[in-house]
Amino acid sequence: MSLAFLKLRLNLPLNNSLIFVRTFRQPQRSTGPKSQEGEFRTLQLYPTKTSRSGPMKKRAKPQYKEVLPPRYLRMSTDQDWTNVWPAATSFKYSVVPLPITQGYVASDKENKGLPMEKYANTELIKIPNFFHLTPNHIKKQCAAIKKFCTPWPEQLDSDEACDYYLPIKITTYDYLNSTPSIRDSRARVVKFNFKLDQLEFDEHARDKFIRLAGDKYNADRDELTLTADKCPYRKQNYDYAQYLLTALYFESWKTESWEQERTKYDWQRYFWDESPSRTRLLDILRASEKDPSSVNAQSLLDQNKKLVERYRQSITRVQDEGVEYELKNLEDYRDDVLTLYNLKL
Amino acid sequence: MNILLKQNLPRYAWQQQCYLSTSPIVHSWFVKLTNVTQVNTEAAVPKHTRKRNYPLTYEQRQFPKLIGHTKTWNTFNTSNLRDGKRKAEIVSDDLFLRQFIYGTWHSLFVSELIIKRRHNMVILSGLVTRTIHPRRMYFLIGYTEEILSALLKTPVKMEIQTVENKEDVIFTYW
Repeated sequence: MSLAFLKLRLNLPLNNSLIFVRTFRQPQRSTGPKSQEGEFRTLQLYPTKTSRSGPMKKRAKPQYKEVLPPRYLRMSTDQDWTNVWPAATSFKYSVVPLPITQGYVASDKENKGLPMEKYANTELIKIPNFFHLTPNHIKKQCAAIKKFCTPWPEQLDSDEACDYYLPIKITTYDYLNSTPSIRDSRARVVKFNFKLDQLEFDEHARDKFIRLAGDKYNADRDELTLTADKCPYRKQNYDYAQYLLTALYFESWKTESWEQERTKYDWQRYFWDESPSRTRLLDILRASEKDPSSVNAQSLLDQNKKLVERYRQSITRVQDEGVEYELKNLEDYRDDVLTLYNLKL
Repeated sequence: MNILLKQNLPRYAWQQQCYLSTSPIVHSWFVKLTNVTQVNTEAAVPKHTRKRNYPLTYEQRQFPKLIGHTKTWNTFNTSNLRDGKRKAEIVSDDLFLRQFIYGTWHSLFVSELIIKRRHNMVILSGLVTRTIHPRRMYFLIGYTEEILSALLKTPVKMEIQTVENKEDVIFTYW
């Protein structure tokens, strides 16, 4: 239904004429189904699937406040980097002022043939970076720790001094990992390490100590290494190592009754005084005397002191020293034996 | 390390299909050898589309065989070092984290989640588009950190970066 314009002309006396124009609002074009148009308007309380008023509109992307340009554009070259990157964090392209690229571009089709910039580069985020460990960082951290440190002792100015003042070396291990747990069973191991010169020994005690230690003793460096890992806790292993060391030391000073049964094959070095070689030499010397039975062994040896001494030294060297000087030692022994028999060549 | 046979030198590196195993014993200059376990793998390798308009990010274009070469891992932790601890738990935690982030940040991440473990912390990184209001993003960050810290019993931190839109991470069209 449409109403047309109504023009009312008011005829006033004489030539004045007032024209009033009355207009009426046009109703909206009907959007209902064509079949119903013209009859009654359908009641639409809310829009439905069939009441689309036009083509589908894309949801307008909401305009947020504009993002500021990255921070590195406003950085000065003499800024304090330790304030910019105080702790370990992932790579941030907007904070790092360097033109870093990372990525392999095989052809012009990939990334338009351009190198991979740091913006929107996941590879740079993945790798660990050390922007939190620059020299200035280290300097600052050292300066902060310095007040808790004491000066290095003046007496420890060489390796020998360290060995003298700090004879025993105790090694413990600590392990880090990136898990919530700080426990690691490998951290229970305790090692004691020292040179045998630090302890007081006589010959028997030292030999017994080395025999008791077994393969824990390193003859090349004269070092004993005790590794304690039997117990679950480090303190327990430390105490056990201490106990072991004490027991070893005092046990080595004791002489058991069965140690007298030691034979020539158990000697740790050649004892000429107990060897058959000495008795043989005495026989030889006695034979040269006029009255064999009446002469004392000790006086015989004293008479020919020089010869006996030389012979003793050469045979001891032959028995003790290894393959390295074998030829020389054997030659010396031969010479000494010949002088003994007065058969100089 | 892949050893190429001299007679079968392909033109481009991506053309070669057959590789020798990395054993130093298997070696032949006369017979073409194939490593059965590597030839027929198709994981994460998309097929070329007819119109060549399927977008790929840099990570997707570097196929799994190139991990360690032109692509690096998405998780960093010490579990696979010698005598490393908690290997299985860390892997399952990673899977859970990826699914959680995928479900919480609806279509916001345009890169894979990058998981770093430092001491007892878990640090999540990635690229996110700016489709939601920054205030909502702050809420999501706080919510994620809070709930994941409670679930994993370790401090969880998010260090995400935003990207203007998805097109910024497109590397090539496949």
